[in-house]
Amino acid sequence: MAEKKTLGQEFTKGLVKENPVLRLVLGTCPTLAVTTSVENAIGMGIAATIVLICSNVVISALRKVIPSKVRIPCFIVIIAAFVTMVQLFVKAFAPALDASLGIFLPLIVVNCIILGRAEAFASKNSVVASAVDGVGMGIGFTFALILMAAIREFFGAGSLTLKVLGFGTQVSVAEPLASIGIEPILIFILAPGGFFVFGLLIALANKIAEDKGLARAELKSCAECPMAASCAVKAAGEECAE
Amino acid sequence: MSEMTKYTVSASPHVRSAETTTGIMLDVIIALIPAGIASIFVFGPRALAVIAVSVIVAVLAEFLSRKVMKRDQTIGDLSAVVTGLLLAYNLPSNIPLWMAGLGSIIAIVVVKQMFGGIGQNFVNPALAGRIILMSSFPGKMSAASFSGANVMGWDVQGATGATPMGLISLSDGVADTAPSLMEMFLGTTSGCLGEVSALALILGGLYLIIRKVISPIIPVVYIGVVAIFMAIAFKFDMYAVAYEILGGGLMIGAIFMATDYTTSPITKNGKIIYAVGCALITCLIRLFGSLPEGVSFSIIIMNILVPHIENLTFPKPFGYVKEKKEKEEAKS
Amino acid sequence: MKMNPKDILVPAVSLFVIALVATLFLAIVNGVTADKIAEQAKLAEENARKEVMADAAEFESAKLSDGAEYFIAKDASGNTIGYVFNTIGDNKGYGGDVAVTVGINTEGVITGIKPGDISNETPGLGQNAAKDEFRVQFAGEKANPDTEEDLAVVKSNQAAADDTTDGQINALTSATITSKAVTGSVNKALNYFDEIGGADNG
Repeated sequence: MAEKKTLGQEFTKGLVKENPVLRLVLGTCPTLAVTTSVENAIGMGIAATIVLICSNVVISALRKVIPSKVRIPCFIVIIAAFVTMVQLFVKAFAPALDASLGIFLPLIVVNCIILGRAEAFASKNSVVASAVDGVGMGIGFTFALILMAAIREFFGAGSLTLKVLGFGTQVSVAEPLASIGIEPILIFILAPGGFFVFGLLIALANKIAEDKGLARAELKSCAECPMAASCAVKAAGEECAE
Repeated sequence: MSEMTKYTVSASPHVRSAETTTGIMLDVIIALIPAGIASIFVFGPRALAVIAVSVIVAVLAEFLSRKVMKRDQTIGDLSAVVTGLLLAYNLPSNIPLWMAGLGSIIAIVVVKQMFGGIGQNFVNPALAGRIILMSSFPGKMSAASFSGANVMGWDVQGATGATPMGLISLSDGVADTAPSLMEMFLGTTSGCLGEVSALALILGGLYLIIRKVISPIIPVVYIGVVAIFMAIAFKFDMYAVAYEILGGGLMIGAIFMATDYTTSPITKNGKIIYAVGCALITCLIRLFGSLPEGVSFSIIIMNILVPHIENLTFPKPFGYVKEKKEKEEAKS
Repeated sequence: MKMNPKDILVPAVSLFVIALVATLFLAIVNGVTADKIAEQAKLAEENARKEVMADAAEFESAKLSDGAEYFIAKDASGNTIGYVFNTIGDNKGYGGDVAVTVGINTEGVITGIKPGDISNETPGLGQNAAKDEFRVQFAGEKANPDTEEDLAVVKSNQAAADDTTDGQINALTSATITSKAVTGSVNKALNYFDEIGGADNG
């Protein structure tokens, strides 16, 4: 971590250069699971971003107060509280989103992006910078989710559900194509298709990054991983699979 | 003064055989022709269309992908033709042609070229293509769409409707509407293009064994262990055992798919372990799984395990003594 | 190793305070949203009931012998026109139980069904159980009074799909397990209907 970034740079880095999903390869579990439709992707993105911003702000505000020994449990308590609050609000005002996200809404608690940013950034930077970082990373996450979901839903179901919290439309080409005998390629909305599209997107992101002279998205050692301090794998002395 | 004898200086190997990849692939294509002819007899000209599309798209896909990846052209080694043929033989005759083409593209570009080209694929490309098509278009690849419209006007009994593997189960035995053993041997039943005619496949297999292209170990062990397993499972109802052997993709899988050089073990013991594994998984899926056919998945699973099998069965150099024993001797 | 009591006390107290404050805020949010959540759940159930029995004006709650709740559907003038059950059959779906809301009129004919949460079924295959094409097969079916047989699931049988009185349900393509789970729940509802006196009840 070399030069001090301006607030503007803190915001934009989360979008492309250090996109949490495609460059930092964090938060892959919800990425693969909820990108079966654009609506789910947007919903998850918004929920995760809200939690990210709130937890970044609170953790940054308390960073001088939280003792280092118990900082991970403290972070998790704070993050879990915000996730539960978001979940309660979603259940009350957007139950359809709760049904379609299912268990992945509460799983935001262990989303690597949130814990990772708390540990790597919010606990060491000012409140304003942390908030901006949260916004940038959150938008980058949502953007990556929407991109993947658009590809998967279009090829796998022939439609694009452009809805936010239930408002919007669904554009579908499935029926016109079916009448000339072209079916959607189901595998895209199943697990194997998810992995495949994910791999292709990371390959694309790496190519763009290489052209710009940046490093590839490959975690080579524990030292570079934002989760290093709290990683159970490292504590056991093994190398991270990621 | 005598002429200077010319000596050639070169590094090993100094003994070369006349075999080339192209030659081997050509033998495989020849061996697959009987099954192709049988499929056209049973399923009509549509079969020829599926085979043609699959092969042509496979060759085109390899040509274009090598160009895009800036590597030398390998279509001359005919391996793309073989992959296209094998994929076509795993498809139903009335599959939309664009799906067959898509399968070829996936098999060649994703499974073969993206991993490094011939010799580097980690699973059999034709089988992987077939499985991806099955997951992508379950309706078109399922048993319901199999049909046997025949060009010769012969009455092809049992060529429409459920495939043979759907008509046998552990609890009910062989159904009354199932084709006879002779029909399954000749190939006048419903099913995928290449898998129906056991006769044609056996002819092809014998050709490959005589030409020393494949070793008989894998097919014999694979089919043999399936026979033993089924005999025990069906309580020695030999009709059911013969039915299981002749039906489904077992023949084509054991002779042509499991024996692919890249994805099967080199050592003899390795081949045996691999074939036994394929057989066991096939039987488990057929008898207890919710799929009617287990051959494709079992071969793919064993393909993935091949590196480990080869490690286990690595031939020991002459005079090799295990380290453990040496240490014990050193201590005493 | 020397353990300074402060080293243990300070972190423990900090963690405790943070947890306490977090819980307090959660309690507040819970208080604000609890009613709305319960309301939403009730609304979803009511919508499901209306969907399976469109002619009903109101639903009256009642209890079966094993304690399960069901609803008596009444029209605008208070006459009973049928019953609505929410059942989970013994057949599990691909990813767990599949609850189905079933509407049966007083003659024992199914008026409509609506599967509950099928998010654990395979997208594109089992999840098509929520689509009209599958659900419409059930409307018009009834348990065969002569043979006491339940509705049976058959495969690849378009005739069974079109005929809505033959006691057969055509399974979803490549989703036999989900189809059997839904049909199992519907059969359970038919059994409950028999139990409460069925067609004899006015």
